[in-house]
Amino acid sequence: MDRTEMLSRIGTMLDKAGIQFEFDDVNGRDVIVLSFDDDDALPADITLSFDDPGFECTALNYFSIISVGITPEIMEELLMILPDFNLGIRLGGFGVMTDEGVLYYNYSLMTDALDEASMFKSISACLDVVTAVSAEGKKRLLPLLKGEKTAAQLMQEDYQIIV
Amino acid sequence: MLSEKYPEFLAQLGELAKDHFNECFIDEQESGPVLIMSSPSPFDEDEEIAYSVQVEDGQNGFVLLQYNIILFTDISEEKLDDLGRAVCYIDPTLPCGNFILIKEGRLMLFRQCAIVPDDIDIQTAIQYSLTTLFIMERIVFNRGNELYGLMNGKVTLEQIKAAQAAQ
Repeated sequence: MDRTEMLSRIGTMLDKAGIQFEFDDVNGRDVIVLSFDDDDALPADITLSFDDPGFECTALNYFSIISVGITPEIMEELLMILPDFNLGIRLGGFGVMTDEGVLYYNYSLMTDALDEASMFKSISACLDVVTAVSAEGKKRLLPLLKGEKTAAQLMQEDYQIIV
Repeated sequence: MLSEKYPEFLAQLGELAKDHFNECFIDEQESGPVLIMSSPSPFDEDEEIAYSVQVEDGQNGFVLLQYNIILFTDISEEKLDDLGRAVCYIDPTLPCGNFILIKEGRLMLFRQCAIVPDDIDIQTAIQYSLTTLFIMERIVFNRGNELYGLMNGKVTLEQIKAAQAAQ
């Protein structure tokens, strides 16, 4: 099954689950974008696309921008806190693009070593977890992103997500 | 069900993988059996790196497969903050997995996990695990070098950041 067909099948799966999405083209790459309401309790959106990690293996990438326009001061705080914050998260993790001022959440599921039935079940189960983790992470990092708390202050609290 | 047969799954996986590793055994931990393997470190000929595979019983008919490669232990205290930053610079450039720095334990590992259906065929789970481990190994061999260099003062944080920007 090629990647376009796989994305199409994922689209059918999302349709059946009643999840809103659209197909898009980002830099010549086919993607699926799942959109959520602009709410602190939800990620802004999740983009699904296929990457090639090598060894003739394909990975489905779940990517969600959590926050943009982050100032250098807040970015410093994120660099302090993220290695610790990611400890409890087993599917992917939060990361930053320092020069772009972006905080994101990212997970890649290797797919084509799985049989077809297992693969689509895994894609769906991982999407549930990715949606929940990215939303919860956004909520927990919000005081830092808003400048209300420093990394050191947040790390004093029970702030990690354990999933 | 994989959740019922995972000792068998780990044993078969270990049997297939053992030629590739120095050591390969199942460790009975409190949380259940864990397959442990080790091989020479690509960074330091006097050291080894350890691999672990474990299965966690999930919910609603799924299990979590967890793969770790323990890269560095006994990291010096003064390098921890820089390594934490370096991980933040490197992670966005990885095709999968995450470098994890455990500051309290002063160790660094590389981790990839997957949720798979509990009714997955065991041979498929084994093939999936071997593929995952080989891809993780390749990433670690390629990118762990920068982290090792940072620990030993041969690479600077600025160089790692510049390399990330160039990708």
